[in-house]
Amino acid sequence: MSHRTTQRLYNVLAYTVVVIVGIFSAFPIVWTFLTSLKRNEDVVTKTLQYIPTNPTLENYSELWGRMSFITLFGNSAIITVMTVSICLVIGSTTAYALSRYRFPGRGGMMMVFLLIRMFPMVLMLVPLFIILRNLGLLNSRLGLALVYTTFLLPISIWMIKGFLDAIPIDLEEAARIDGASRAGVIVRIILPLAAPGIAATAVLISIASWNEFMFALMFTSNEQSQTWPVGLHLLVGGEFNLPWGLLSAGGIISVIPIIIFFVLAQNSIVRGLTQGAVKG
Amino acid sequence: MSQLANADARNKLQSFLSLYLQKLNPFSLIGHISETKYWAYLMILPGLLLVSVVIFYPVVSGIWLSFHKYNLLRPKAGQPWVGLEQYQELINDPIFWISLKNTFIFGVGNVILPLMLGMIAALALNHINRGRALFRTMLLMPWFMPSVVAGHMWALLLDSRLGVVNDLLVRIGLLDSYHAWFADPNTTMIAVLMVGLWRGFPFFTLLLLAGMQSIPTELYEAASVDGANPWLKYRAITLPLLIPIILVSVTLRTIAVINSPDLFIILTGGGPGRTTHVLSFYAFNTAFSEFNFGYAATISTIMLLIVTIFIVIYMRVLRNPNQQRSAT
Amino acid sequence: MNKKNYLSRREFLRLAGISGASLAAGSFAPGLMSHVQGQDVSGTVEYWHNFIAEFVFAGFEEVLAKFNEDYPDIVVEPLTVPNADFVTKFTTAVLGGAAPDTTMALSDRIADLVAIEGLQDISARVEADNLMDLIPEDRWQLSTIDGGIYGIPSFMFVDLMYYRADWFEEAGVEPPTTWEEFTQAAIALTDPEQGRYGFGLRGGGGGQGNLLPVIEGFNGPIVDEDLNPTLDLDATAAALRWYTELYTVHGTVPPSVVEDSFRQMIEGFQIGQTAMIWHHTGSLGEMQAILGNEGTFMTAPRPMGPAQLMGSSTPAFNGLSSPDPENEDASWAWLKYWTEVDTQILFMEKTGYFPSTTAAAEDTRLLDNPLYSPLVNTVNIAASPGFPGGAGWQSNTVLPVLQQTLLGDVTPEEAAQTLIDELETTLEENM
Repeated sequence: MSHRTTQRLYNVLAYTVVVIVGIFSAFPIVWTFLTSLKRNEDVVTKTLQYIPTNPTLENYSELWGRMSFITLFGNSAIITVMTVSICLVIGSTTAYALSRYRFPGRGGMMMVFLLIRMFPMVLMLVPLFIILRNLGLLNSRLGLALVYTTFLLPISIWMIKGFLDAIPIDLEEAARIDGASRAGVIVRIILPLAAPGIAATAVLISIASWNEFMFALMFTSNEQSQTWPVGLHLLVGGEFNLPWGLLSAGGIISVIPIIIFFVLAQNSIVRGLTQGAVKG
Repeated sequence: MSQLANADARNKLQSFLSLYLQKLNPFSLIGHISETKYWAYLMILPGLLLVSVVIFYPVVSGIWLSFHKYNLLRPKAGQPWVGLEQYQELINDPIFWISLKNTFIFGVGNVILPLMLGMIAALALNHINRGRALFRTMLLMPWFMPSVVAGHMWALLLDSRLGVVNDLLVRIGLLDSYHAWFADPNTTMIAVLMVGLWRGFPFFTLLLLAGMQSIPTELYEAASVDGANPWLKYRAITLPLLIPIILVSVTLRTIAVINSPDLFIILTGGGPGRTTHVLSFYAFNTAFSEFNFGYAATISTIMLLIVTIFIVIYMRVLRNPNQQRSAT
Repeated sequence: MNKKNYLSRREFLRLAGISGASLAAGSFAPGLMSHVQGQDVSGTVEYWHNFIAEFVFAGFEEVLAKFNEDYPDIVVEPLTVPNADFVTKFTTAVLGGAAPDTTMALSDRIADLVAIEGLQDISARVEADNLMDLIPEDRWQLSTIDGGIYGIPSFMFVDLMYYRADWFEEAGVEPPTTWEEFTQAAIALTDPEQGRYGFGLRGGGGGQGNLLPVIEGFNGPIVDEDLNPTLDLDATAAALRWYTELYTVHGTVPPSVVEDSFRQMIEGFQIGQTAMIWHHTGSLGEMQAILGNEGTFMTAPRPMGPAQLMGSSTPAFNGLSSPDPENEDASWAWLKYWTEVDTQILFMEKTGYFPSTTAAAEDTRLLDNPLYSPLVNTVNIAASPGFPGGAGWQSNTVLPVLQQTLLGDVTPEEAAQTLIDELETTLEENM
């Protein structure tokens, strides 16, 4: 088979895979969207409605009316920004040190960082509550951001370290020989190469922070400090029927900022970090 | 003479100040610190401090609690020391063994399956030229959904009365009538793994794709010159360089899966009849439904042990070739 | 049988509205003297509750608004907590020293909340304000623990049955009144060809709530007043056998039974799959909205078991948790407000929740309403006493065992033995 034909074959294969997996991923989301446009009686019916016969935006308007959107969204957004910032800064520096510098107890230290994740959350609830209460950080965005950071920092470290480990040391050694300081090496050589990994980490941290529900519910007791996922849970926590339309609308609204952030992030973070790259 | 002395003093002051300010300049300061002998420790310190301070207390108190009896419904009984009694109880507890079995099934299934699909998806995404951004976003969407919505929407998709998946399967002819996925112990497992796959594969896709994009293209070009086919390139170049990332993602995913009862709470409640009853669910119920915090701590400590075992195994299996050398 | 024996939602509310006004006019009862005196009470009151459904929340807000008018110097800060997470959040707050001033407490969990020292003894205040005169004695049973009173019954959940009146008419069958008739009716109304099943048995989450009254119906109370277990093996096994054989032997239950929790059960009834479902009144108004105004459903009391009715009524309580000493009077004023006839009627109008006070419950609007009138007897039947660990026993033992029996993994006798053993263990460990 000629080189070109093999190339085309692989192309077709790649696109087929992407389309099939894409459908698998997107189908439930599409269904969520369709459900958000249905009245409840159009969801709970004997014969399934694919396209809503009576499409309506009442779920969205009801959602807007019933929840203090701005407060909930705002809280979640602020907490997410705080969490991501701290995690990336501290995470990158720590990961670099752990990746490049061998010292006794390095493996142990990695495990210590992971320890926080390895213990089931159930027993963390009360001790963390007490800690936050003593620090006066209940019902506060900073309090939640600190808790999230504590849990997500190990992930940031492990992930970024993983990407750094994949970058050959030769590049740094060459630059050091050329006289660059360690910090300079990090900024000019490592960061551009690790940019996709750091961007991926940023996405992961922000999603985890945005969608977190349990701690937000437990550590806030007034409506001003609640976050968006808590608001969503209040829709379904009721005793009676599940308001499918409302829940779906909530889901769609929840996903939109993330999509926007993701689209912006993958371009600008990668581009920004690649600015200082050393060519060749 | 005083004027000369003054000028001299002023010069000295100026040069002193400029040197001082130069040292205070954050960038050069960082540059200098990074040259010190203890730079590594300084970089690690903030993270270590934060994590230890906040987490030390809960984890240690959790393990400590596993050796004490603590029944919230009898606060007057206090928290007496009982040694290994609760561990003994755990060994004799049939529900523990059921939960353990289920935890292994889902702990492995919800990691391996998404890993495989994630790898395939990442390879495909890395290969295509057009529509990258679109497909990448599409493939990552399951991850963006909050679990409450994702869980309930899948419950709706698979519902025995209102489920579109059932409707489609019937129309295609694979099913005679709507199936009650979560009522049949066998299909419950499949359904939970399916939802876990859907939720979990984007994580692997993202990380593996990022890893693939960090691999210098020169390596592939060199291999092409040597006449290597794509499969060989994958095995010889891509896979080895992705190992650190595979290790990290598998570790993190395993921990998340074993410790989180979210999906099970929404989809199955541990049922039917305990077929999806996992340890994380057991621990949670024991604490906040039975109020037996001591026993819950015991279960949690065992979970900690299990996760550690998984991680050690993964680390043994996936050794990173780059780890051999240290930076100068 | 031919006449329309239901009320449309509009008619219902209209009736409620008219009578509400007339009742309020003559509502000065002795217990309300403190209402007038308490006008000068002030403070902030935190209140945690589970009113999430739109209907119910709207009703709650109306009560809140009215309270603000009557007590302008008291500020109530409500917090809506999802039902499923309530105990976790409350326990964390109690252990962390940040429990709210006042809270709603559902009957299945109040014993636990008291045991973890999350609710205060309010007997003194209850006696001082003569609240026992307003609310029948047996409704205080679940909140009276070791001689102390820990919650005020504020509204009721009454067990009942919803059934498809049109199907029954079609088949020429009367709504069943005994367990034997129930089986016959379920069989008569099952028609797989048409996709119809006689009974939408709730075998998923919460299903234990429907099984327990069945056990009580065959066995009598599960524990006695002194909280000794009184489950008899044969009676319990018979109850389980009767209940599960509706599915396993008679095929009158949809095959999705072990995954059918509340919403599935309701949806099955809504789309015309099942003829009868068991639930409680809850928010009857919302049920009507859900089940449609076509008038095809009616309510009926639960059928009789060999020992007693397979249903009862349970109150929901409001209690003092951890009020600021300065705010305690304000907190009490808020709690007491729920027992006033006006409040009870208002809340019932908006939500359909059954009132807990004698005065409100004997109101003609209830007695004349064909949806409520079948429940008059059930209202006065109290459930088994609660005990610490009871909620855990129900969800972590009764439910899985029910599911295993439905799946055929265990026999009803084995299941009954497990239930009894676990009940004894729970009582031993937690008393």
